[in-house]
Amino acid sequence: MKSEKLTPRQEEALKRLADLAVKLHENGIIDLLEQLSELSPKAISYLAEPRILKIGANISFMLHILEVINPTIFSVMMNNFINALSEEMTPEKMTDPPRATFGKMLKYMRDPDVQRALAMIFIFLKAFGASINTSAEQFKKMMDMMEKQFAKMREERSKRGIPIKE
Amino acid sequence: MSAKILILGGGSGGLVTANSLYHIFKNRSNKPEITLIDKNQYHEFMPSYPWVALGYREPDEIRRPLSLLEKKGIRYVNAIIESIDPDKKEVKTSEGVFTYDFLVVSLGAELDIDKIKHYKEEAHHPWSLQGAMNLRRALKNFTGGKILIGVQGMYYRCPPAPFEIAGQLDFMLRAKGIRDNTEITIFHLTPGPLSNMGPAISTVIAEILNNKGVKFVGNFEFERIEPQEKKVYAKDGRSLSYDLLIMPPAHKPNSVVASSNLSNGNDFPAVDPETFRHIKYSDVFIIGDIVNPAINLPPAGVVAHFQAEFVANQIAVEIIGGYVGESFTPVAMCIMDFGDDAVLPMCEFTKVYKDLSGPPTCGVLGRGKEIRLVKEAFEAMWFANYLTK
Ligand SMILES: Cc1cc2nc3c(=O)[nH]c(=O)nc-3n(C[C@H](O)[C@H](O)[C@H](O)COP(=O)(O)OP(=O)(O)OC[C@H]3O[C@@H](n4cnc5c(N)ncnc54)[C@H](O)[C@@H]3O)c2cc1C
Repeated sequence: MKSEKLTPRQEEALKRLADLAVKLHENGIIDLLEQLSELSPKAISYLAEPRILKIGANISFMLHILEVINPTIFSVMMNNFINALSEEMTPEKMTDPPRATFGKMLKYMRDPDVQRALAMIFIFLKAFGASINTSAEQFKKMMDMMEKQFAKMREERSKRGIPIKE
Repeated sequence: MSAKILILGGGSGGLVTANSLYHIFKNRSNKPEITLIDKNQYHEFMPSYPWVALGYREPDEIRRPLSLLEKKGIRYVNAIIESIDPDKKEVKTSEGVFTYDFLVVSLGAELDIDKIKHYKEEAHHPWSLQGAMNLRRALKNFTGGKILIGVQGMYYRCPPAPFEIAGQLDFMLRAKGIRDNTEITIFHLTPGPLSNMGPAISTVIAEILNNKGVKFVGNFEFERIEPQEKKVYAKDGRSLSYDLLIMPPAHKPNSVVASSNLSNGNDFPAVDPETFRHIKYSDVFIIGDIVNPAINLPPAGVVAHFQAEFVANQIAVEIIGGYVGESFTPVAMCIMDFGDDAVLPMCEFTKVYKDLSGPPTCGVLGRGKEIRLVKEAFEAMWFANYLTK
């Protein structure tokens, strides 16, 4: 460091920093920071543990789903759904749940609310089915590609004398 | 007498090995003598090369002197490694001969600029710091036309990098106001963008390229560059034109290792994929880009990083006895920054690299331009942890 004199502002800043350091020290925060700085290289590894990564991926996936469904429509629907549930799911019904006999089912099917709910379920099933189809195709393509690569990889490994643990 | 650990290479694998050993032994009395040798005076953070090419970083912001390791009691020797003799346990360098009890080799892949005819005159690449600066100059003079980005094989550092560069260029050219008169095309050996990483990643990357108007040409097996025509040809006769060509240079296994007894006449050395010890010389560990393609792991820094920690633990076990610490995590990640969007893809390779029993499990950990901050934070943490000032 240069041996120039400090300006009054620098002096004041340093004094405040020293006061702050004392407080942080007394509260154990410096200790904690020290511990954390020891941990940080390890933290990188732990964050990349497959299980942690999968949790991250799932959260990100759920957030993505919430993003693609229009949030206004979604919150209005959820609100009304909960209201309707609280009206329908009475304590009496919950303690003695009704059974859906064939006759009752026919009656429910004529109910316009049930008809609308069913239509929504079919829309969901349609999108779900289409996605299963696309995924199956993509997965098959990938497996075909991997099969071809694996045969080559096995050959190369044995040529180089690198073991394959079966 | 303290154990002598010699680390060859101060890239991702070597740097993490040295630091992990330092952390394991710093409060112990039986400290080993750790020496790291590299011909480069600096450790360079390669994931930021594209940022250098685009002017988002200056070279000095993405490298730090390896001599900073001395602060942790690790000896750093700036020398060219000339040969390795595992029978005599000797390494010959421009600064003399070094002996060892344990050897960790992380010398990386070599760039073979001369392998492809006309590559040197025609192509640009951010796969080295010099290459990134050359690309920056070329981009400064670029006023529009055809940008062609592609690969000549599957062995190159960081498989997603060409896609990331394409996305960043789209962003930059729009900012420059010349995107409308520029075509950006990527060619690759895979049928779809990153399709070897499975549909979860490929679909997202395809969507981003589509949003950005970047064309993808798949199953393109590179054959040659024709400088007069300004075209790149595939083996099946297809051709693509360029005004600016961006391609990683051909990569080859490190020549010092390839010419030593560690490789036994093969291109890559033979290691046990569970321990990364050499099959014949159990006091030699080999990690990173120099060996990973041969054990079906990608040439990625994250992989070298986890191998390094695992190897440091194994060496410590031999010196201290007992506990091995964590197991190896066969995971690769790459933060793909596209300027106005970003993706963090991740793959786990257990089934592939151990017994070739199934594909990697891949997924997108996050998407959105804020992911760029993760890259910046990672870059900062990397230097703060491993080359502390
Ligand atoms: C553009 C780009 C983006 C990337 N992005 C990512 C990413 O997002 N995620 C990721 O995981 N990976 C990424 N990577 C890849 C990652 O940087 C490499 O996989 C990683 O650095 C490999 O580590 P290594 O230790 O095996 O080799 P290197 O890091 O290449 O280190 C090898 C070292 O050995 C030294 N050396 C070689 N030969 C000699 C010799 N004869 N004498 C003395 N010294 C020698 C070299 O100077 C070098 O320092 C990226 C790479 C590039 C180019």
